[in-house]
Amino acid sequence: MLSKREHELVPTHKVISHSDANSMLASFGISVYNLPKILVDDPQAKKLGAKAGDIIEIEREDFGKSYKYYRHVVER
Amino acid sequence: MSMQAEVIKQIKFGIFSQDQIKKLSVAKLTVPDTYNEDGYPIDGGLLDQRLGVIDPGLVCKTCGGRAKTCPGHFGHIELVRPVIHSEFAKIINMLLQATCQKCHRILLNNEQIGIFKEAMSKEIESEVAAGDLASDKHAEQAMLKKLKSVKKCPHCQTVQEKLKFSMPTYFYLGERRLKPDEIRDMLAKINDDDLTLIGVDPRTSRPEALVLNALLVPPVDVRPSITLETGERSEDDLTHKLVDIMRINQRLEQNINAGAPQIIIDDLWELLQYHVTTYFNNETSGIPPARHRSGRALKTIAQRLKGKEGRFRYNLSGKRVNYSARTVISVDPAIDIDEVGVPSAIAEKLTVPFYVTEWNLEAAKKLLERNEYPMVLNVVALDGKRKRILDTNKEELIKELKPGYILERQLRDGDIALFNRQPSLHRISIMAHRVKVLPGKTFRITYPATAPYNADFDGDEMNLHIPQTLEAQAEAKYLMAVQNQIFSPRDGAVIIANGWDGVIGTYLLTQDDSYMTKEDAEHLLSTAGIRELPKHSKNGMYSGKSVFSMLLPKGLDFEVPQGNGKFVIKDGELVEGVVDKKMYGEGRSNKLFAAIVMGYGFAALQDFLTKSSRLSYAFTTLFGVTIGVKEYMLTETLAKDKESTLADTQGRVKGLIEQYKSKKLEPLLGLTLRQSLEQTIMVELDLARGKAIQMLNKNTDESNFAMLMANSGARANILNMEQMSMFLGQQATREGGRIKRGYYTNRVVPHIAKNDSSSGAHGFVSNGFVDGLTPIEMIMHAVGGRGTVIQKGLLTQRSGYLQRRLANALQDYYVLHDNSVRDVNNNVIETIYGGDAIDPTKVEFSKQKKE
Ligand SMILES: [Mg+2]
Ligand SMILES: [Zn+2]
Ligand SMILES: [Zn+2]
Repeated sequence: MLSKREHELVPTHKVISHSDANSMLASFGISVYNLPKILVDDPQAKKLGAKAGDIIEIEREDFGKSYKYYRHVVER
Repeated sequence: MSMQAEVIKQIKFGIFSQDQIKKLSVAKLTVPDTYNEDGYPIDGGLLDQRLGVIDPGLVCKTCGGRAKTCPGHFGHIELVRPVIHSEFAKIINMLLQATCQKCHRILLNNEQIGIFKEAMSKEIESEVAAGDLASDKHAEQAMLKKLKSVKKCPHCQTVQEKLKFSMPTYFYLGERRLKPDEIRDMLAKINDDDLTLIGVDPRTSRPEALVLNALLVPPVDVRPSITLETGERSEDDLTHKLVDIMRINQRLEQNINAGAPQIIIDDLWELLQYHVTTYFNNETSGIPPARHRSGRALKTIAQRLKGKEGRFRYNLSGKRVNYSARTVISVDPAIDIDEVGVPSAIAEKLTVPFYVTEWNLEAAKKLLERNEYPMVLNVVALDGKRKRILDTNKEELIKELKPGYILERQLRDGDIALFNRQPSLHRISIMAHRVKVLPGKTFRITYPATAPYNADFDGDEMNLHIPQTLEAQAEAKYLMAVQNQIFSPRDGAVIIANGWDGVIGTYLLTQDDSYMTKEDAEHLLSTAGIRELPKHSKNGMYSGKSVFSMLLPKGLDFEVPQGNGKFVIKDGELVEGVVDKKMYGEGRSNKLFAAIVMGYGFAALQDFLTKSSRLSYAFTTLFGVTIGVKEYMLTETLAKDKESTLADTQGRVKGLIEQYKSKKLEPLLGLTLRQSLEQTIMVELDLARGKAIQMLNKNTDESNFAMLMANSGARANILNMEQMSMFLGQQATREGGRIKRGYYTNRVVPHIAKNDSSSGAHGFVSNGFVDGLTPIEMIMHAVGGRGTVIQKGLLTQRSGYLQRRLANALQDYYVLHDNSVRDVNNNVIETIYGGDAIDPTKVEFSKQKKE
């Protein structure tokens, strides 16, 4: 069956540590609220067991080049 | 006038309470009339002199000011019976639905209130942090939806009756109509804490103020009366409406005092509600608009603000600007691509500031002394006052001139101007040009510069703006200049290049067998401003390639494949290949421009473009290119070939139909027999067209100028030629297949037999435009043509609106120095622009570098 959690087209999601999150935010010069959001009940957030307030790092790939994208986990 | 700069952080709107209205008001109005018999404003009337004055002679009774100094003052009308503010009826309904009909508490129990408060504060916190103050409050909206279905009050246990709201201002509790005074009492009893939960700030807006007891009357300045030539006065629509309100109000009062029956009082009350509703918005749905005696609908408050002709879109967003001009555009091949020809009449009116400093004081004085173009029109003194220069004050101004003054001088050659054509769909719809003052009445641009504007010269008009500060001029010059927009920000394709006769010229010039006399070479090169001849000549003849090479930057090396061969430039000399549209025109196939920019910069490319255009036009003219019907006449052999091809095809189609009828046709995979027949016939007909094009191609050379146009890429292609000289071929439908419907018995026209499957019966046109179409063929062509037009219209309309919405949503995003994309609140939209931080306009450059 098709799985929203394990589909090959879904890029890799992972929850990053607080210290990693803080240094990432500092490098952009922003607060968590300036990041795009992801709902706690999003299939990927559920799979990772992410809690509201966590930051999820997404390894995206476009035209063969990969780069990191970040989302702030929020309550519905 | 001194000015104080303050930043407005936010604006909060609230609702005036009845007390606030009365405090704000300078006069209680009681007389439903304007002027008395002597033509003076009636005290207590709608033009009461306490509301301000507009007649020049009179003095304001409130502030003592005259027409020019009095800002106008609000008055009020006291309504004998309250009415609903119709524009807020939906909010009133929401409030009534959310609260108990008996105790007027919010229909949530204390526990729910606690949970909800927490959710709301979190949401507000995150919204404030993200700078997103105006977003919908999700938690609130979800709650309000739920409250509608609460049956029993959790506070006093009262069972809630069904509350019905009917546009525009009617409320029913069960079957009973709620009168405005009852509604007002209900709203007044909702407590402040509950209101905050619902999303109403009680400090600025108490809901009972939405039921009006007093009506604010705007100052006369807002609704001035005008005097017609006949001496008759004509009042503003708002004044008319206010008179109506006051009349009914007065009648209602008299009836109440006289103890009239309830039904009469209710009728008048209803009428009062109608007038107040239409006073706010005369296009309120559910009620007829109030009209003048002439039948014209009144323009009341909402109509003044709303829509295209309203205050916002017409007067605020759509302000007219100074230092601008508009006129028809036309072409001028003699100016540079980054120039704009400006009519002298416009150049004499538009001005550019000349900032006087201690170092240019002498120059400034000389400029000011001038009596003819280009001269100074205005002087801005140190106090910021602008003075028009006249013969009478010129001497004086020259004497008092000192650093800090600004001279507004007439526009002249070389000034920077922004040039724009609407619709401004992308950033290159506005570009910076250098002014070139010319005789005539039109703006002039070159052909290559039309592409980004999507302009042509069939009557198009364009706007010109003159940047007034040095910063603006610098920004325009370096960021918006035409030569910096040659490559598309979409994909790096060339968008500013030559076309048409400009391409035919280079194509003919750079043919292998193109040679010319010394005189011709001199003529061509001098039109391009070049005063030398190519180094090499053959028997006194110069090759076209060597003449073209004179335009190329010295030392340029460039090589790309072209057709079966190569296009080679070695050390600034074109040694192999032809300069056609693919090499030299618009589009992604033009790699030459990027090579020039990489090696020599944008100025060199602009120079090349300008000079090659002139040379190309001159060569086209010298050569002589023209087309006529003769280009589309077939030779005898070709005509015969055409006939036999058509006969062949028709025979095969007939054969297919026979096979189908006798069920011998081989069905195609996944298609019914009928569909298979259609499919195979379509393939057969397409094949015929392919064959025709081949024949035409083989038997026509470039002495046929239509073929020359197609081959050089200047205009049209062989298909167009084939359709004119041989046959038009299958006409398309929107469904993709052959034309089937039209006449009611499954045929296109009644002149065709029923169930005829032949090619001609379903839109195959076997005549060309030169021979002429048969009547049935013409119908088929019209059917296909109409389909195409409809499809094109639908497509451009849809995609245009889609593109506009996208552009509007993205317009304020920007790329920060770290290559991330941000919005104005510093929210991160993309961590890296486009996932790779590549600037499409420079993609071609990086490819050039590698080689
Ligand atoms: Mg036009
Ligand atoms: Zn006044
Ligand atoms: Zn209650």
